[in-house]
Amino acid sequence: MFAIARSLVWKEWREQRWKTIALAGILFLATAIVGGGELAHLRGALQWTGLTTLPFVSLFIAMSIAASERSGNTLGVLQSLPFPLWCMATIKLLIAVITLAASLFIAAATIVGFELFAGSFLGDQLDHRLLAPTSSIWGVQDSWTGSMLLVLGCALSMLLWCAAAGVNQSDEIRAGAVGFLSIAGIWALLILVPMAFDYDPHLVPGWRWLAVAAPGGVLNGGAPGQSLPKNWWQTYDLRLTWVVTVHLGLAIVYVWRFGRVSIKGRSQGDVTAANLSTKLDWLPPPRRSPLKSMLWKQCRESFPLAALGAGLIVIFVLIAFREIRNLNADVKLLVIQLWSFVSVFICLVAGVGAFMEDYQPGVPAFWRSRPIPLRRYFTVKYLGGLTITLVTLSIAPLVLGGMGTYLFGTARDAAPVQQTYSMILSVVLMQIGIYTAASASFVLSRRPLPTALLAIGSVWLISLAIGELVPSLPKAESSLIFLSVPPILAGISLAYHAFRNDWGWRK
Amino acid sequence: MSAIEVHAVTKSFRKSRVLDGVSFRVEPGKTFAFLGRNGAGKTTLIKMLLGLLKRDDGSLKVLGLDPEVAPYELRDRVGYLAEDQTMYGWMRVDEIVRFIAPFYSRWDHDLALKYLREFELPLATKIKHLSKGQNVRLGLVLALAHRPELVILDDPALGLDPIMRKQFNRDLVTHLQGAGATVFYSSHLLYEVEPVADEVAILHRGRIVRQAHPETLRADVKQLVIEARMAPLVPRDLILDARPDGADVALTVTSAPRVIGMLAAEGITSRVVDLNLDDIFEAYVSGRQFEPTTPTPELAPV
Repeated sequence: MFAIARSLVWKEWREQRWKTIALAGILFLATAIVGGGELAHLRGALQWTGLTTLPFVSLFIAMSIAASERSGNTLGVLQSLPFPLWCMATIKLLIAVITLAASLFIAAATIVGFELFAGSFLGDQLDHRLLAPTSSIWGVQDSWTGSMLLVLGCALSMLLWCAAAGVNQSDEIRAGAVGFLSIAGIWALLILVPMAFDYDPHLVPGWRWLAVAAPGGVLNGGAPGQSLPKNWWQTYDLRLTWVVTVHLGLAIVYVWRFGRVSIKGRSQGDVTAANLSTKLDWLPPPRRSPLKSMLWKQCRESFPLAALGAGLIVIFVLIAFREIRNLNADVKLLVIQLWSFVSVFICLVAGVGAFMEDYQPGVPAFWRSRPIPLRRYFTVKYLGGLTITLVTLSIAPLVLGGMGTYLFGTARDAAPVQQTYSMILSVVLMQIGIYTAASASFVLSRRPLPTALLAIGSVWLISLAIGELVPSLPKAESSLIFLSVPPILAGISLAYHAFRNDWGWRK
Repeated sequence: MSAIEVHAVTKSFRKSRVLDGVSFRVEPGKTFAFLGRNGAGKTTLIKMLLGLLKRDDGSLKVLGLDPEVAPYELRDRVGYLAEDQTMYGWMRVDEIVRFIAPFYSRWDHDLALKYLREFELPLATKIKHLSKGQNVRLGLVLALAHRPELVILDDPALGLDPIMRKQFNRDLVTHLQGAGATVFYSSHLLYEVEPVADEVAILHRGRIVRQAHPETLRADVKQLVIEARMAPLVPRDLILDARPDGADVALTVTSAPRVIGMLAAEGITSRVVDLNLDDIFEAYVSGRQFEPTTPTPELAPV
């Protein structure tokens, strides 16, 4: 029994070790760039990069532990082992937690190592230059270790929520979609309900208490920038106990549900000949051309996710409706910010998913052996998927942003036109960049998690480099395009050649 | 013009040589059984026939075309069904038929419907919900509905139960032979193709070790049971396999009539056992040599 457990730990670690190293590398590189290469800024930079990267990556690790065994057709092997499934799930979860924690630890230890080497070790001091102090509820506002633990706690919270929601889905993309929807739904509920009750003072504290255990809510107690009334249930220990209890519950849900699914559902195809005779009278005509056929397929694969993203943008904007009026905020800027926030995630997943169906086990043999011109197939898949994603994601922001003043009445429309255009251009280029990086990475790695890490890492580094260069150049918009196009074209070229020549780490 | 002409084709993956000077021809309208153990290089060669892999050396023509030069033109004329082939699980049966149809210049939609009816495939069912047998049959519909001149089947019935495999192979090859198509059937289970194959080639360790008509093969390869001490009299290069059989030894030999004649000339009687293709295949790919324990007299050449 112990030998099996040891084998499973070895297997999980073999699957996750490169992710740990890659994630640590991304964190450290991004930290070095954000910190401007100055040692004194690295701590604050790591806080910032950790907070913006780790919770995001944790979603992809959650997708992997939730669905990779099923999508890779290896669940049957695990089910047949003389070892309880819940033990396997526990091992998977623990290794995932270690992956996240180790990457942050490696990046932090490297910075401490540099400090020690340079003789400027700062002890446990926190750097607030890049990041505002976090809420004081955990009593860690002045501790670097504490702030790192909060970043990790936020990432682990996202991991557990996403894994518990998406476990046993048929592939990683579905698991991620279910997880992301669950997280978005919980937050929408936590924001909308107090609004609906007009921030009733009897209700809000309790609601904040719930929010602290929501996905990522551990970061600041669920009440960003606001102090909490000192009631009995808001003492440090009880809130911590509450958060730990909820997340342990999520871990139990994941562990309990993992693998409790039949490998192949009951075949609906096993119907009697008598039933068939009525169903086979007429077959719709073929699609009119190869191009239309490919476009139809890509629409079916890309549109649902893009529509989900568009729906989320609309929901977020409507949620923010009250705040827009209360804060007299600029509608366009708010819509653009929400659009960029949602679209980054959706474009990443859409890029991963653009070629996912074509690289499912056994499927490449099917389409590669057909008279399907690979160049055209790639072009339609890449451009079709990108266009569908971009257009679908853009409709809602355009309508809401353009009509914001009418829709939201008293809302302000103060941002200069030039600034608005610059922001829109940046968001569109970011979407194209992420989609391209994710597509190229998926064609090469053929696994969602390495794809996400590769895509996030490359886009991070390139956009940071561009961000450093553009302000110093005249005509910022032209410079932005000029600097963004080469890496995007390089990504497309890499993806095409990998697609055509069947390059891939996992065949 | 031959349907397939393969001449001295070699292919290596890093240091491992998978195909080593493979040569054979398949005549139009014939059913060619391409046999070999798992990992013998069958699928590698099939990928080359379809232009999915490049050869290191040698020449290759399929339907008069070089697969590396005109892969799409070739695939338009070839039907291919891979082992364990899966399709887009989210598509329904009718959707995948309509999706694939425009890529083929000679797609016959009525024929596709006819096959769908014959194979009892439910049009409105998603592919991921089809049973294994239905998946294979759907793959066949998609491989045959454009009336291919050459059909390449790479162990298509691998996941089916024995009864279904037998029925599948018999029906399929009979149907294709009736339609005048050339069939290139790759398998490691010989008994399946035995009744329908016009020609058999055995691939072993990257080389074709035997190519012949099944009847010729059966007449040529026999098992001879003789006294163990007489076994060394049989030329070693003709022995494919040798196994102890009580006090005797059972030798599987090629050029069996010649060996029987040689033994008869020396007054040695042997019991001749007819073999089926499965046994012959086994002798070629995993035969063991017999080590004599007692000295024996010299055998005079016939």
